[in-house]
Amino acid sequence: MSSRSSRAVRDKWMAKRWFTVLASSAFGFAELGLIPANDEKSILGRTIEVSFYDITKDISQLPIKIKFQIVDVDGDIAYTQFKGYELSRDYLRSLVRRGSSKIDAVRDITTVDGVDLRVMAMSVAIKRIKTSQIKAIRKIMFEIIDEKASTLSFDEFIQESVLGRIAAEIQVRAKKIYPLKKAEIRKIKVLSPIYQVPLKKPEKQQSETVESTSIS
Amino acid sequence: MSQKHKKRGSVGIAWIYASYNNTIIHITDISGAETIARVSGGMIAKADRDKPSPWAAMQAAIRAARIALDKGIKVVHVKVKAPGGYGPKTPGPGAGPAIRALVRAGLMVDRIEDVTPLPTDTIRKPGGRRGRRV
Repeated sequence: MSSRSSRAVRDKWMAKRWFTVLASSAFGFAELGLIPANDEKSILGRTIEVSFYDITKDISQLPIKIKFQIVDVDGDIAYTQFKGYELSRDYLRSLVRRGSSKIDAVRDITTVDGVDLRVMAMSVAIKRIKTSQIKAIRKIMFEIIDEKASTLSFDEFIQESVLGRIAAEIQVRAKKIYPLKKAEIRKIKVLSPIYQVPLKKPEKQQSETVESTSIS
Repeated sequence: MSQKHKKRGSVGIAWIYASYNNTIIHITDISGAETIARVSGGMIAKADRDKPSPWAAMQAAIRAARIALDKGIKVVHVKVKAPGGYGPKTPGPGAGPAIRALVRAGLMVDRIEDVTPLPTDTIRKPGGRRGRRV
């Protein structure tokens, strides 16, 4: 009996269509992988979490986890929108130690093209520092995040934060108060409804090349 | 069907939920929405007390891996999970053997991550002020 039921399952499995999932425009429409589904409708709204290492092949970016949500399907290609970004837990745990201060800064921002984000930044000082110094560093972190939000678009802001440029700036500017061991953008959440975020698709020619590479 | 010529996905996620009462191995695709194989320690062990045992976890992982390999999955990302919340935050006795069994069965394990749901604050443990009265 078990063999019969497994065969039925197998047929259902074989009947599924495979969709190629592409990253959002901020990540150059990199191919994230293939996922099975019965039809196009059921694939909408699924989220995929990949490591940034899968896109860049840079091992130092392994603890960066990026979430994409599928918002549009065209044939066998699914287009996604950036949904969130997070650092892996074991990496964060390795930064935070006893006897050194951790400074958290959580800020809601709106980018130039009107996307609401919640940015969670974190920095770790090399020693335990005074509350006044913590407050000063937090102020700097808020300043930098606001500054970036008022000049950058959604895609640019994500690129800057994922590649660590915002974090590097925090580290440089906070040095005046107290040297930091590490500064990171710990997490980003997209607060706007995902369908309100403007969706950019690759050029027609580009999408064809992507399709051909996925087949070969 | 035209789909037969298309490339099929070969990457999946192996969710291993290891508590002190059971071990569940659940292999899905990368979106986590499509189940490929799901086997638990209770499907292997005869007695309830053997459900969380390393042996049951191993057998369950081997069975899950076989189903997944049959369906064309070659690489898995492992996500280990303990009950979390108000319960234990470290994975149960079945987690380690299950991962090793997945490797032994022929699946490539790419990266292992702990995804225990940790509360930032916490809820009150069940049982009330006077504790669980058995």
